[in-house]
Amino acid sequence: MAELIVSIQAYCKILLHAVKHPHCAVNGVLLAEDNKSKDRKVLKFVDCVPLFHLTLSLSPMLEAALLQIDAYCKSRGYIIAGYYQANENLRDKELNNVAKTIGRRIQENCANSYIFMVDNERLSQMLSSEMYRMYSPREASWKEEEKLETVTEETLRVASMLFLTDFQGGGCGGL
Amino acid sequence: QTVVSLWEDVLMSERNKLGDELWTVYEQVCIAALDCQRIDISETCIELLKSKFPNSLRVKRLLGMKYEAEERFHKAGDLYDDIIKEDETNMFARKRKVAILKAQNKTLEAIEELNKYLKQFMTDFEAWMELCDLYLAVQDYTKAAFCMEELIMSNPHNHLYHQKFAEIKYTMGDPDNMAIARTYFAQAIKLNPNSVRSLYGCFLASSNLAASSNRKDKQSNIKYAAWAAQQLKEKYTTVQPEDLTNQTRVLESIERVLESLTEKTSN
Repeated sequence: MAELIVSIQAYCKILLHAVKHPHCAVNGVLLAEDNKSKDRKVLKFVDCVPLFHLTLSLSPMLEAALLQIDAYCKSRGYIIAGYYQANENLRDKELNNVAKTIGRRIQENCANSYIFMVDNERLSQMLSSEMYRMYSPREASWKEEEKLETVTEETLRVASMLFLTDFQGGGCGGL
Repeated sequence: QTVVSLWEDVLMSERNKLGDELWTVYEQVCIAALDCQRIDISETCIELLKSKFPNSLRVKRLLGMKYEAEERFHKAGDLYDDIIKEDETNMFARKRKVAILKAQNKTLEAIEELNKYLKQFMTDFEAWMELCDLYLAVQDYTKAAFCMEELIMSNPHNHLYHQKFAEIKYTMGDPDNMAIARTYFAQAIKLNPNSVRSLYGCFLASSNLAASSNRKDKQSNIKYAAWAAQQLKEKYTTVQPEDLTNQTRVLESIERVLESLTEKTSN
């Protein structure tokens, strides 16, 4: 089982993206270091690129975005290895069809990819664990990964501090 | 959120100076408070409004929204049913019922309810937009496209409707729909030449059509794609600072797609 690390930058960007649009569903991709040559079992997500809010599933913009992100990744030695999604409904943390479809496409490029479904109810100041659930590909569907520690204490602390800042549209909107 | 903080800091103490405007302000503060989960403020507002307008349906709907915010969906639903009984033309109550179903994630029932509503109130564009999004959520692209068609018919100059319609057609995938998508993207560009999204859409749709074999109009599709790429390049060079464009490698990715198209024709 590969070990996953999510950097502060990636984690906080996901958090901020979700909180910036409290009335919408949001999604984006996660970039990881391309480890093919190093053959290590650690997958480190270094950054993320927020994609859409509101309508998440229309293909032309998704294709245009993935084209550009791909080119960007190649120039930096990254690879698109993850996808995150936060649903519109507060209580909805199900892995829906949109996530599965996009997840599959990412998996075609990178076998070791993950989906992160953000749990909206866990987006609060008292963050003691990650705010998402992770899924990895298994045969025809996606299986939830049991508690994998992906973030450091430092990351959680920084994320909590973000909540103390009052920024537009943030804070209590989505809670 | 700004509304609520303004209310708390300023207006509450200066209420008397607002005169008749007061009641509209109460209504707006109430809704803002519900949005921020400040049920306490909304309850105060509702009580005050009720005492001034005892049998008002407007006040009743605010009460319904409060129940929704507290997730007492059954009570809210019953209240809205009462409102509809009293006033059959009340659009608001019917729409809130759809919202309740959506909040409970019952997308299919929400679609059914919204369809019923639209049969009676066909000109409500917000509702058509909402229905389109609901269909997209269940991936029923044909019906979503139909909703967009209604919207385009009502507002033919709104480039956003054309764009969304084109995106739905593109997502449906097969060549006929792709050709329709390309046309609508072109229309959107005509209506708003600055829309980068439509330019990208046109580019991708034409590239897709050019890349698929056995199309008679392959050459013209390549020309469309090249034109769209040219427009995109101009936009990127004029609007974005150069180092940012280089960093994100945008232009190269467009180039690569174009090259792969022309390679295929020379084979």
